[in-house]
Amino acid sequence: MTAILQNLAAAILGGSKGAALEWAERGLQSGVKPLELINGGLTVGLDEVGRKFECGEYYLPDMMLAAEAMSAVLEKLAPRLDQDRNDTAQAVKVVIGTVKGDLHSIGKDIVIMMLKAAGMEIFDLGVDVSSADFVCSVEENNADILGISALMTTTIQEQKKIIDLLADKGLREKVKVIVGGAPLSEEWALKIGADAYAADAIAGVKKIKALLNLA
Amino acid sequence: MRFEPLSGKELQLIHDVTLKILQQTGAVVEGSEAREILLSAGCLEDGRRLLFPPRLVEDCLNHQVAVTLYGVDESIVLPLTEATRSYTHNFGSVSVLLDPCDNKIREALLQDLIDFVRISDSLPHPDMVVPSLRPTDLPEEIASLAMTAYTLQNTVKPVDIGTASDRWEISYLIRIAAAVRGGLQNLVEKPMGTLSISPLSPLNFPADITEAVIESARSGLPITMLPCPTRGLTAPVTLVGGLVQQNAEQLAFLVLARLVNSKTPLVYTCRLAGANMRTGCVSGRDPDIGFSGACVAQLARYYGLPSGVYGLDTGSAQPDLQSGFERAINGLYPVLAGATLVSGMGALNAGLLASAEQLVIDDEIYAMIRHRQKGITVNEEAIGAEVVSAVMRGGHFLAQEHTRSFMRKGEIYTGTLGNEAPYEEWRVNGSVAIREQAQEKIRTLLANHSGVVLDQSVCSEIEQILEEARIDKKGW
Repeated sequence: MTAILQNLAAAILGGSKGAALEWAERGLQSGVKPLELINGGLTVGLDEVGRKFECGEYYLPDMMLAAEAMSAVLEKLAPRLDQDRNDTAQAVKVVIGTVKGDLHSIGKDIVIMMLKAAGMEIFDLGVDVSSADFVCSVEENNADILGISALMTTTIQEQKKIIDLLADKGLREKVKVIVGGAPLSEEWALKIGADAYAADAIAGVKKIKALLNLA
Repeated sequence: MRFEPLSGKELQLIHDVTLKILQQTGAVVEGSEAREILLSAGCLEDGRRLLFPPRLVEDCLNHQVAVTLYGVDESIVLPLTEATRSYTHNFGSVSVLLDPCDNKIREALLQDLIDFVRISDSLPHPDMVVPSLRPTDLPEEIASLAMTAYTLQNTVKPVDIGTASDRWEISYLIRIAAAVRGGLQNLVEKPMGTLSISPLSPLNFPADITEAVIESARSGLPITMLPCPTRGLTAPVTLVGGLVQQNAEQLAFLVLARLVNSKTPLVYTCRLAGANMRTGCVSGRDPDIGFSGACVAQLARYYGLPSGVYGLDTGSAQPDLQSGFERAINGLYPVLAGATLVSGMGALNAGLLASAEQLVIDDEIYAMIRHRQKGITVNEEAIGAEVVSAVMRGGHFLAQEHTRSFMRKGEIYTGTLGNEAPYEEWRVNGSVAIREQAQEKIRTLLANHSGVVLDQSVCSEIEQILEEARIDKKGW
């Protein structure tokens, strides 16, 4: 069993979806429980990916491929996970999207990938999202974090509208708001009443963890 | 003298693969009118994507339309299609600037925009002025229009009419520009700039964008096709892969514009950048910005179109040594490759931070880069063998008419900024750094600028259009 878990972790580390699926399948056939595959294989591999990224050895494509390999295995394992799984701990809930009038998704997608890797539950609203939809999703999903992306100097005003609407609905104190996007600055975030600003995805994940006292 | 990184065979291959991508993968095209136009011209439907038959693309490429821009002062002429040198201009749409007074960043105000325009107007090397700063003290809903309006009021040079993201903006930008020319027909005959429109990468034309393209093409004004893919994020990571993808974006754009109006003047412009593979942000610290600009210039020429590329660029947040060498490298490639319009003057931090000091220093950088763009003329007169002979028989080069006349023609570069004095002399004269020189120059240029260049009646008309737009936008 140890060899299977090690190989599964190595497949995640190498970002190889095919190998990861194969080792997960072998594990299942040899009677390893899905939860053991997750905790002893996927998580171990992903922790190592994070470490390599932190020390500068890994780049975004390494992260993206590892995250995709992990998602594929999780999808495969999902139907077979026991009902009495023991991970009852509530995952952090993040609602995230790109503002109305803005169709840029790539920065947001990188953040999502890194947050997923950090074990958070993501509600991705996509791009061109109205302020009402942002606020609605925060309320419905009881989100801990709201991430608002805007990439154009013409659309960053939308971020303020969303924060104002949160306040109008009495939800502002219930959720931490982080804003991102190339034209932004710390000063801007402060001005519109956000809790944090991040210049890039790595900083974003760190700041979200800091906002939740997880760092 | 020309730097041409791509061979004829390579250009042909790039063209062939581009046609294949457009035929087999196509582009996402939204907006019912654009889809209708393209489908009735022979494009095929594949869900949200439309597939472009190679024959259609080739047909649309066959229309040759010359592009010429005229200054706000019509006697200034930039023949883009027949350009014999590169034209340079400043960056566009930045809302944060580095204040020369305290070296801190702050949000741009209307007065900053006016100052930037007047500095660009006064400096010799910006050939065109792009609405640069996006002021934060104007009503947000009309900020894009106001940028163009106040740029037009403060320079006699050609002015980029603006970057538009939808049909509404295009229609008001055209009205503002037409007011300056005294009517739409005059504007179309002598446009002071182009309308810039960016599709999304990879190969995505949302409804707002296709509507903007259609509205612009109908007007008859020149359009800047402006894909901005980032290698590794929104385009293949290889330079040639990014080049081919943006070429497909250009040609899809061109087909739509030319189907609407076969006489649409087009500028083949691209901002192909690399990504920082750890942060996912566009990198300004990347010599490939200049190199890919050189390739884009060659591709545009292959299609008989004028080109627009990024030149001066840097990752640095200061007008410092890093900014200096990165700009020099990125500016040199496209100019040597004969790019028509080269951008970047005054921008730091990969185009996200504006700096008036850098703008002034960039004038000097472009002066140096352009100094030998045309190479040297090799003929008997220039060689001056008889001058050597005269001096050898007992004369002095300084006392030759040959020396004086060629010096006057600019044979020896004379800078206006920077130091070349020996250390002691430089120290005794106050150890002035180039940024201090730039600050002094900014003060002088602004103090000597003649102010608003348009008649009061035209300015009032523009104000009226802005006010109308502000009210109209609320109901839009």
